[in-house]
Amino acid sequence: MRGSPLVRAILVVIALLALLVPLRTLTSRRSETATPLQQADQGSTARKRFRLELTSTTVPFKYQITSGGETIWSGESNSTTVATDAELKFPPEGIDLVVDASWTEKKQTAVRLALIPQDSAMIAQTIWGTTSVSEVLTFQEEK
Amino acid sequence: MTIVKGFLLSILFGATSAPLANAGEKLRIASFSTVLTEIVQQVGATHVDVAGLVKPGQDPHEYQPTPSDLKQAADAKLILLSGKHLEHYLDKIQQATGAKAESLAVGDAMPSLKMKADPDESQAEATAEQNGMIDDPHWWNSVSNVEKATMIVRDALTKLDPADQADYEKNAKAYLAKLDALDVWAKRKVAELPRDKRKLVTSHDAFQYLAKDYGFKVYAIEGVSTETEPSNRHVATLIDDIKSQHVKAIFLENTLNPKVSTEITRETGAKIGGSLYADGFGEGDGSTYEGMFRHNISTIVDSLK
Repeated sequence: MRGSPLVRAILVVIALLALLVPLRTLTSRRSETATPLQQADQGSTARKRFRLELTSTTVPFKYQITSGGETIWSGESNSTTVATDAELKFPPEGIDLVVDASWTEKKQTAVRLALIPQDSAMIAQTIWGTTSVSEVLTFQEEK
Repeated sequence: MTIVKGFLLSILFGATSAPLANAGEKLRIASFSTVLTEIVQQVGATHVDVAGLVKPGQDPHEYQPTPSDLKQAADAKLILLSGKHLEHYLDKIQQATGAKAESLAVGDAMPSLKMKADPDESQAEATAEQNGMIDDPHWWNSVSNVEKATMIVRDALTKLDPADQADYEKNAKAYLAKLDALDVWAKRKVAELPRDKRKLVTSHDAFQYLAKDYGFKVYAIEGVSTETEPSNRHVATLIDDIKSQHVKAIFLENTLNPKVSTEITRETGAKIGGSLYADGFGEGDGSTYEGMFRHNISTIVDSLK
């Protein structure tokens, strides 16, 4: 090899420094840890459009439907059935909706919540109460 | 004649006064489960004197009775056990009590979920079925099981002390109402978490009953016991599962060294969701059943959201 020893030494140091960055990236744990959390965000369930129908055999009644800790529909109705459209995250494992409803008259009452998807059959559940109902209902799409 | 009359009266008086004297006595109970200690204190109230031998924060998988514990068990009218093979020291209790006291393995009356026996744990291996499965002993992580346990304890106290049946029924009813309210709260709290995020990675396999009640899938770092370290192969599989299932958090427990769990979080990027009370009561907010259960549910839901 030609050239002065000083130049050769400087070239070796530059080569080692250039290798340092990729070596650090390859051996560091930190680079591995960030990946799964980014994937978790990408893997979230897409929203799906539903028609929601709520029926109470006693009127007037107040109602509130909660999904994932957030109120998605609430109000008061003088007619037995009310309906709305909603976009919900509906994973294959199903969805939990919290149904709260109350009425002033003390009377045995059935409250039915129906979910009507655009591309598959309606799914519905009925609960009973005397002055109110407050329950978590699990809905799963039929396969 | 007077002497004979006096003798007869003393016999009669003695015969009628004996049960009255016993009626004032408290029933001595020895409990080898923190959850059962609370249940029997709530249901028995002033009629019982309870020795809680497994203390809050103690790991029941590793607990060994001391001579003083065995003496208290020998003095008891009723010994409460978790059952489902958790008390690997059962022979010591039987030797100490000479089968005088009535032993009640409360968990044995409940339907069992199955789990893999830990090959490194002799007691688990001895009770394993041919397919290597054993009854999961952690029944108290289901509120409905604790409700069943309350009724079992109520009936046992009534059998030993029928005179105070009305009190036992009243106290049990009040405690059951609290448990009902706790279950309603838990269902609403868990409903905040989408079903596809209900993936529970814990530092030992103690939450199957909770998972069944509230729709979780469990990935346990260890098997049944907290005494053994998981194999490298098991840890590698678990890391793959955590990555592929996009699990956001894993949970430690109050009685376990968190070394392995911490290592897994480093490999997967999942965070430590907090510490859970898996094997019974702990200190602070986990020192009652309601506090323990609320802590566990809140920690799980808030970390996985």
